[in-house]
This record gives sequence, C-alpha cells and structure tokens, in this order.
Amino acid sequence: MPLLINGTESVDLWVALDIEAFSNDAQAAINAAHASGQAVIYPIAVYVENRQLLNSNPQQVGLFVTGDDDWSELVDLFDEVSLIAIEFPVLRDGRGFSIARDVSRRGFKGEIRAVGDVAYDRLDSMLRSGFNAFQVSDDRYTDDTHKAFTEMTVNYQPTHLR
Amino acid sequence: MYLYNNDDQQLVDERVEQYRDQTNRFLAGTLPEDEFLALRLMNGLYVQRQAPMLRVAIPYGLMSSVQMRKLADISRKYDRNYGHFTTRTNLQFNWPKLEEVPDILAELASVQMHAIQTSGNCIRNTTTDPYSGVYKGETADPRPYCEIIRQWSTMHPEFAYLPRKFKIAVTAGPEDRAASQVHDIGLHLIKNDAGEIGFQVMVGGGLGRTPMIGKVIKEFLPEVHLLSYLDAVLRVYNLNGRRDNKYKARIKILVKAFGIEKMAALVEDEWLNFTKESDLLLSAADIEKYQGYFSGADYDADAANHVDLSADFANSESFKAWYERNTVEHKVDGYRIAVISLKPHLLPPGDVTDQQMDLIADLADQYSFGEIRSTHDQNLVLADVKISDLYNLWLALNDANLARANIDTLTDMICCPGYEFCALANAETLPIAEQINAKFDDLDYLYDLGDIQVNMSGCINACGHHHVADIGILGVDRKGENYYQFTLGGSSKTDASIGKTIGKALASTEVANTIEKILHVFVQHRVEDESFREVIKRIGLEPFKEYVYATSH
Repeated sequence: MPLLINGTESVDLWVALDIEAFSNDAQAAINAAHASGQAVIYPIAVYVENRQLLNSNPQQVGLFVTGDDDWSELVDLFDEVSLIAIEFPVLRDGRGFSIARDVSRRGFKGEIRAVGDVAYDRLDSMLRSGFNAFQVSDDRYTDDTHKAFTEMTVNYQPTHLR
Repeated sequence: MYLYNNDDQQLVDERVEQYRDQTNRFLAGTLPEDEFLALRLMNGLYVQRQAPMLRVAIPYGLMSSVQMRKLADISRKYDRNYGHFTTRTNLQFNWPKLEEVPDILAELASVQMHAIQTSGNCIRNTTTDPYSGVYKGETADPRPYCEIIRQWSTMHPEFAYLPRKFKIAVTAGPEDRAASQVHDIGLHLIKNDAGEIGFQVMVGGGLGRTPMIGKVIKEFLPEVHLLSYLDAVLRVYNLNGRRDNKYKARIKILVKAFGIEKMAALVEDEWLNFTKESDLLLSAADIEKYQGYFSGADYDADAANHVDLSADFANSESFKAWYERNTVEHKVDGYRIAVISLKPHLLPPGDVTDQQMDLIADLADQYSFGEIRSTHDQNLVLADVKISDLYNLWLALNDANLARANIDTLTDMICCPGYEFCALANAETLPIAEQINAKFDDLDYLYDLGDIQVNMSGCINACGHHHVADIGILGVDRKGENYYQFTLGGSSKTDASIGKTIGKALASTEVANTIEKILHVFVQHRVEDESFREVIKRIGLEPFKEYVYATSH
C-alpha cells in the first residue's frame, strides 16, 4: 500500500506483526518478529504484554493503536518506539484524529501514521490533527493524491501545523 | 454584522472548489458513494424522497439584504422559487440538482455565505437569540462569541467525524429564545460577582429519540476561555461518545452514562492540562475586535419623538393587532423589533417565496439598516425599526402575506417538512398544519388563549421540537396510516422541560379536534390571564387526558 510522507510516496520500511502466525503461536510469532531485525509494528496490547522482550531498539518498534485500545499510558512508551500507527476502522469513526492530536501534543517525535480507511478527502484533516504519514489503499491512490494537502490553504484552527 | 476578510473569503472559495471536485469525482465513479455521502452532508446536501435538499448556513441567524436577495435569486435560478427556514435558523432549498450544487455554493460564496457543516456528524451552525443586541436586559451581545465559535468550528480538522451531530446555542438572558437547554452545549452569557463576563456552560441537552435537558458542567467560564473549553468538551466527546448505535451517539447519552460529575472532571482534566493556556486562549483584544462588528446601529435620536401610533391604530385594527403581537420592545427609545410571520394561513410554516425574500430585503434596507434575522421558531425579524415606520412596514408586509399577527400564538407553529420532503419522516406534517390553521383562524380567539407553542415533528427525530412545546405533536406510521401522538407541558425557554405523552396516537383527521379539546380543558381551568403553561404546571396532565380520551362528550 502506498505510503505518503511529506506529500511524496515513500518506501515503507515497516512490517506489521504477522497476525496469522500470532494467532497460531503468539510467543513464537513475537520472538520471530523480534529476531528478524526488521522494524515491526505491534498492537499496543501485545507490546505492553511483551515489553521486556521487545524494548530494545526503538528504531525497530512501532505501535498499532485503535480507538478501543487503552492508550492512556501511551505516553510512557514514547521513548521506546519510533512509530505509532493509528487506525481508522471505518469512515464514520473519527477517534483517530483526536488520538493523533493527543500523541503529537504530548511530544511524540516519531512517525504518526494513519492506517485503515485513509483516503484523499481526509488526508488534510489528518495532517492538521498531527499525522505525518499516511497509508493509502492501492485502489484509492493516484498520482494526484498529494494534492489533497493543498486544496485548502487557509484555516481557522491554531493547530501546530500551518 | 461580521464581514469577511481575505482569508475568510479564500476559505469559502476554496471550499467550493473542493466540493466541486468531490462532486465531479462522485459523478465520474471514482469517489465511493458512502464516502461522498459523508462529504456532501458536511456541505449541507441531503438526498431526499423527491429530490436533493441543500441547507444553507445562516450563521446565528443573521443575514444582510444582499444575502437575502441572493437566496431569492438562487431559488429562482436553481430551485422552485422558494426556500424554507429551519429551527437552526438556516435556509433549505428543496429542489436543487446535485450536479448544480457546486454552482449554488459559488453563488453563496460571492455574498459571504456557505453551506459548510449544515449537516453531518460535525459542529453545526451556532444559534442565538434573534433579538441579540437590541433588547433590554441582555448580559452582552452573544453574536461576537457566535462568530468566534463559527470560525473555530469551521472545518475543524479533528471534529469533522464526531459520533454524531453537535449543536451549540448562545443566549444572554434573562429569557431563552434559542432553546439553549436542549442543545449539546448551551452557553449562557452571565456576569460573575466581580462583574466579569463569562458563560454558564450546559452540556448534554437534546431532543430526538431521547429528549433531555442539559446539565450545568461549568458555572462560570471566563469569556477568554470560550474556545479552550469547547475544544476540551469536543475532544472528550469525540474520544468517548458511542459509535456503535447512532441513536445513542449524541453527547447527552455520554453525559447520562458518565454522570455530569465524571463528564465535568474529564473535561476539566483535558482543559487544565492542555487547552486552557493553549493558542485557543482568547485575548480581550480578540473579543473586542469581534464585538466591533456588532456594535449598535446608527440610531436616529429623533425617533423617540415620534412614537404616537394612535392615529394608525384608529386607522386599522389589524395594524394594532400586528403591533401588539408581532413587535417587541427595543432597547433604544423610538424603535421596535418587528417579527415577520412565516406562518401564514394555510401555507407551510417557515416557507418564503423568492418575491417575499426580495421584498423583505428591500424592507430591511428601507427600515432596518439592511439586516434580517431568522429565528429558532422559523420566522424572520427586522430588529431595528423606527416606531414611526411601523405602519408603512406593516402595509408592505401585509400586501405580501407576511403580516399575520400570530407570533407566539397557537398558529405560530414550529413544523418540520414531514413526509413529503424528508426521507426520514414517517408521517405528513404540512397537511396537519393546514388542518390546524383552518380550524383556528379566528385571531381574537387565539389572542384570548395567549402564548401557546405548538410544535410538530413527522418522526421521532424531532426536528419539529415537539418535546418542548406546550402542545407537541408527533406523527407516527401505523401500517401505512398516519397517526399523531400528543405531548403536553414541554418548554424550550428558561424553565425548559420535556413534555409528557397524554395517551395513544390519534387519527390524522382528529388532530385539530384534539387541540380544541385540550384548549377546552385549559380554558375551563384557567384563572384570569393564566398562560397555558401555568395551568399545566398547576393542574397536571390528568384533566387533559381524561377529556381527550373520554368516549363521548
């Protein structure tokens, strides 16, 4: 899936934890992911559960957060990870905007990635809410997708961007 | 009134082009229908039973004569020569073409108007008292604060996909003419003991399936914290409001589930830790700047010397009735507030034709500094009319069927468009309004009854605010037949309360007769000039139930 960072299509260096392997043998899957040397995105609950094992190289640890997760303690994990992926499960669910805002204002300096129902018409709001990376599905991605960020050049909210 | 600067103008212009692109992509098949639905709703476009419906924002109900003429023009060019004013003080066009909506929006933008966030699960048009700035006794003019809220809430990146729609009303006491207590947030401008201006903040009011009166979440919020506190409330709601059931998604359900104490604590935590001292903090200079846009009109000091209408009254009984019912005391001597009734005999409540809009614009220019206001109960207001001009104003309004002297009487109904125009509605409302109008045409009888609010909704979503009327009427569908359920004792005013059902729904042919029975009980029990509401409070609903459902009379 195309990944937009700073308005340009970028190479995605991250892999998600293999959920199928995880459901067969959770510990083996986690161990394998950890040993792979790849940068892996773990569901926040999985990371918290296996924090001692996984907390070694922040460059290779990312978290996957949904609106249903308990992310109130997320700030304590900021130093241990370099990516936080926030899910938009369906179009109607706008919790991700506020989660991103919270993560960014609490000082997380890594990648804040929008995943799930991420398409053209919401990219600019996502950017202004604090996201800095956008995973757009293949069927919704075109060469013009980056234009979403320049449709509106004025806005009223004193967010940290623009 | 507020005038756009270059940034404001650029924003609405860019929004038009953004929406045009969205429409084009939808028509070309590259934008999925469900996604376009959310996007078009956020721009006020519904697809209804017979045609699309476009809802134009009238921020806090204030518009200029230029804007009114543009609305008339749009109704001629793109619609069927009329518009419909809503309880959010907006205007709806019932017959636009989906592919022409971008052009309509461009026309609106040319007069500093838009349709942004008139629908969808976002922050809607902020409403206020239609007499703001011109009546005696208000704490401060609410409109500068409404404009501040309008700007903050317009295309807020974080709050466009809330669990459900979100409505804010601002009033400045002592009376509540904006139904503030049945809003997601009601803001009451007050002064504290030190004489500082601030807001009492209410949260969690609303109508719909689960009507509720809002609860006080903050007794005194200093005015400079208006946005910082709203931002905190909205964030708590966005993160915690239910998303599994749209009928339980409004903030009122969250407030009920948490309890007001926990809700207040969560908001306070967010506010103190993050938003209170953020960029959202207003300065006194910010507020003054916005107040400057709403400073009083250039009143004629000589007007106070020409207030004797006895000759005009002698000339016309009808004018006298109109003066008494449809004009209101103004804070400046020599002036009155004039209410234009959009509740004529046997025509849909809230509707206004292109010719009427043009005329009202002309009259606003001639008599009221070129400004017009729309009200929560679907009428219009010329707020600054010299008393000596009232007779001529009345003559002109009367010629255009806009001077029915029925404000706050039984026929000044709030009424949703009902089955014919709304895809959600289960039952017709407009023919029922007609039935009521036909039965209660005797104005003297209506005046004797005094203030009575009748509200009617064509479905449980309660756009006609039936829960907060003296007499509320809810249309329901039973196997293809329309029936109407009555609630009594509701109010959206300072003593807000939710009306109670008096019994099973009645046949459509019986609505006006039932009102007659209800009025009969009222008149029988009324002591001197007691209002309908006072009688209900005193005797309760039982006498009404008994009489309405008695087997014979």
